[in-house]
Amino acid sequence: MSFLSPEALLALILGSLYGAIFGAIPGLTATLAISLAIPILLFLGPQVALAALIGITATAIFAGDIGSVLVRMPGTPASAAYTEELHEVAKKRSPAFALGLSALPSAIGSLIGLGFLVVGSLGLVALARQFSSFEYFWLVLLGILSGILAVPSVLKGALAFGLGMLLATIGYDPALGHPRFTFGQPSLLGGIDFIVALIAFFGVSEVLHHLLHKNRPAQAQTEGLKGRGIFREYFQEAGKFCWKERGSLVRSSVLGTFVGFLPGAGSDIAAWISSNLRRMQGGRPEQVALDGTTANNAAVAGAWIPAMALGLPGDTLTAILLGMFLALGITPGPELFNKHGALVVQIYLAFFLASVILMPLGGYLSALIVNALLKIPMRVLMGAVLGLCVVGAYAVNNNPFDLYLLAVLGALGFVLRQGGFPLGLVVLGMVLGPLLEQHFMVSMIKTHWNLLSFFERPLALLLAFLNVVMVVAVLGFRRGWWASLRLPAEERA
Amino acid sequence: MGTMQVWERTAALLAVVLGVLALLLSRGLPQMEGGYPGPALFPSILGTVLLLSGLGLWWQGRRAPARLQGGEGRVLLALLGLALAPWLLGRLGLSPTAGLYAAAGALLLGVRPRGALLTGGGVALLVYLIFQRFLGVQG
Repeated sequence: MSFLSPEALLALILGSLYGAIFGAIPGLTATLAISLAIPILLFLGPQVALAALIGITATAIFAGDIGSVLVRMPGTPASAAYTEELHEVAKKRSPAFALGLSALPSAIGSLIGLGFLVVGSLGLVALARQFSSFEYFWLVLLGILSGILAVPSVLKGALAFGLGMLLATIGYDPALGHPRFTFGQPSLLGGIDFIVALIAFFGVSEVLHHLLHKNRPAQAQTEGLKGRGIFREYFQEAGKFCWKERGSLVRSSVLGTFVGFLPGAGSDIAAWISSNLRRMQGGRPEQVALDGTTANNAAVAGAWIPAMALGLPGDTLTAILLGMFLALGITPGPELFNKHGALVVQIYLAFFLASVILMPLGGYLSALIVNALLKIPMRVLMGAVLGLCVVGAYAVNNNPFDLYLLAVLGALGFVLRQGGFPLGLVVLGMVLGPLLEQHFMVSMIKTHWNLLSFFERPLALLLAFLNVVMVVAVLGFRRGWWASLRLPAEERA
Repeated sequence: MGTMQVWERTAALLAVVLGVLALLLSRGLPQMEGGYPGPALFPSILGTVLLLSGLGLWWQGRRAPARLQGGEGRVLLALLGLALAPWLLGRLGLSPTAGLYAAAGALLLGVRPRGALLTGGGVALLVYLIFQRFLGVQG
């Protein structure tokens, strides 16, 4: 079966629509969408599952703008950077024009990001073919350190990552194959299932969060999608505006891809930087929204570059996707390009289809569906999510023991979330932790515990140096950067 | 602000406990030939990281006011209910269990009984059609 098979194309279309709906409804997130979808996708084979996953990730960030247009509430954090401006455009001109202003630049940003994804991932893979366990160790460490240093509190980041990696140590160890922390429970010998953990952290903890804040008003009134000349406003007028702003589109796309490529950064940071740059230039609301939405979608493709080429996730979404790759028996990195070349091409193709056809064409359809769904109270949706979490966790392995894990990990995820700990780093710990241990132990066994061997190969030395430079640079940068962000963050909490 | 402190301290305490447990339990893991550290190495490092970061966070927030919000009972009830899921699954089957959790979750979230029943019924039907009929999940 290929990505052009009817099953895979259907999965891509349905995945896009599903991702768009989750991305658009404030309170439902792209990570929740994937967590609930994975138990179903696991049964459908790699091609169909990956097509659906690409559809979900490619459209969920764009769809965050639908919430901004309809109810002035960003569906995803990446849309928060320009929600005011986009909603203003919707009110002053028309919701159709605002949706077009979101869909077309999103598609263009995603397409330019895809170009960089193809070139960048192939280039990185060529470099990664020279890597041995020493280089991989430094590379994985780079991903871990940048993830921990990218969050406002290093202590919280270290704690979240440490918990994730500790969870990943449960089961057989990679060096001697000795069981660790299983307490005689056979179901734990294979380790904690990544997908069960994902459902617990992003599904159960979300429901518990809503239970804790039950009395807070969460529903907003939608303004609807009224008005004439929807096609003209959505395609023609928005298209004309995009053509006029073509220079900004290219600039924001390049900026977004670069930010997405950086480990620890992501779509929301890309959107904030890009829209703030336009604000500083005195840009009109349409221009600010265009720059922000272009950058955050380009960042999605940017985050896939290190994920595909090196197996290093750039953000939470790609960390989840890497876990999904592994669950499907595919190891990202040079091995993916060597053994599954056709799959790589099909991934690019699916990205292309999702960006160029589904985003602009499906954008308005998604908005219509979301407009109807927004009338369903959030508490009803969250009740349904709880039921689906139970089924999803059980369906992965048909093992009732996983439901105990769901409760325990759900409680852990809830406590961490309420305390302001980044759950994405727990996931990063579960994905990168075992790789770090594996590459370290392999290197040590090869050299009879000669620690200096980590600095003997030129590429390993360069990567070690990059780790030091990154830590010094980020720590220096943080002193000014987070000091200005800390106050608003605490006020929000 | 105060409520976040409660959870932050809870997480810090949890990290300390888990860190100490990891350190203690990893002492029982075997070493490699030549006395080199084996499976115990990373759990010991992680135990230390958790212990130190937990203590650090506890120290940082020691003077900040902390108070509970009031919805913790509902959260606890939901978690206790989740722990019953394997037992319920064995007695009711997959789709009724999913429907029951959806309905109970909706009720706890403040949905009226009729709405909660509809939510539960909808989820049970969805699970039956997608997971059991289409994907062939046992249960």
